[in-house]
Amino acid sequence: MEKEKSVSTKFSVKDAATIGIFCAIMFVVFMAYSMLTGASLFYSMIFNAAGAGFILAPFYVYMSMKVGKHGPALVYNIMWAVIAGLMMGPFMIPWFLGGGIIAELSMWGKDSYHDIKRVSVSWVITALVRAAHGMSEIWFFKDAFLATGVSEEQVQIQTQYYTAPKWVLLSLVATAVLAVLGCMISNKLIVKHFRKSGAIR
Amino acid sequence: MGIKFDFRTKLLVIVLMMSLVAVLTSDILIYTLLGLLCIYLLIQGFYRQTVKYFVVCCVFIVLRLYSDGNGVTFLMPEMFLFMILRILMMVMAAQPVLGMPPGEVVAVFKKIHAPNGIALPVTFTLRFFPTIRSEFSDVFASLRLRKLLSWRHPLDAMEYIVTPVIFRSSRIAEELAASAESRGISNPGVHSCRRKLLFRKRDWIMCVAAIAVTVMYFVLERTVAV
Repeated sequence: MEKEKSVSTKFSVKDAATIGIFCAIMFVVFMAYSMLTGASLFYSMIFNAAGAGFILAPFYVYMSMKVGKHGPALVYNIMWAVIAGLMMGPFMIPWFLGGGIIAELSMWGKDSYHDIKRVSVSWVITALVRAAHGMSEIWFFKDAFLATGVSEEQVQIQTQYYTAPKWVLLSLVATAVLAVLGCMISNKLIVKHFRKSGAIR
Repeated sequence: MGIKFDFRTKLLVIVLMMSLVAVLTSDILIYTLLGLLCIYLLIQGFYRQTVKYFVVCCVFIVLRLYSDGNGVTFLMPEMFLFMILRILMMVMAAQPVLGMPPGEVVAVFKKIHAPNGIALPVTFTLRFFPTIRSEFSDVFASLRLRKLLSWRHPLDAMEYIVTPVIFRSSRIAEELAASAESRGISNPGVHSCRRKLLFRKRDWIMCVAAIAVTVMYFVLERTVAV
């Protein structure tokens, strides 16, 4: 009975609480981090998502491993889709939603949420979606983006950085590397503290 | 004690605000809209929050006027000031939803037949938001007391912060889930709610006023743009 319970694929109230609470923490930490680093335009454009990929990784890895079944990657990205839709404009919702579906599909298969490599892959996809959302505003949604009343200065800077291959590549590579590094450190924390204490199986 | 609006009214205000934030470019329209949002919060009884938002709005409006479109040194570029004001508008419009009691949120989701996979995490997120600050400040206070916070060892500091926050949050998640379960949140039957979710006359008035204001701002934005 106990074994049946532990391998159940059904989403429980405890799983929902874990996802809800960790999504809230990740949102608050991201906002605080963005406010602190937002003063530097260059950092915001190129390295914001990379830093977030590193700082938020422990929370994401713990949330995924604690829940241990399909859903966290999609729900987390849906939350970001709604926030991005509210803050930046509705045209951003499909971008994050698409990213969430890809991140969740990358976790296809049994017990993938207990495998750090698989969790890292879904986190890298999530981080890259966030890193590329500013680029997507210029590449795919420029008209909708301009209609939001965004300042000329911002459009100029975004166009300058996000149409230059070296900056785009630097941003995406830095994001992927730091997201992987964040997941590696998170795994060490999981083994050192949470697995020992029995918080994660 | 302010006027209580139905969830659907609050949601309509958020959607209308989202559409306005997406099109407004004129500074004067943005500033007056922030004023209207302060009134919207005041009539619902969010007095303390309104004062906080008002002060923050005033600071950033003064900084924008002072910078004259050039930003305030490299620390506060124009884009930063512009984005803060836009985010403030959305946060102010969302404040009444963020402040909803969890029981009412559950009842609303049941009423609109939202899928549990989305409704439950959102309910717990809204329930946990007000306590996040104290969770972090307790951890920071404890680390400062033991002199464990240091810029010299950033990875160690990260471990000392992240580990207790995760442990505490995980325990809270379990307690909230147990509390919700004991009150029958996962019961598949029909759920009753102590709070009546009714779309009253005041909701109609608020909705009509919100739509009228939105249309007026759209027209004014076009006039200013021309």
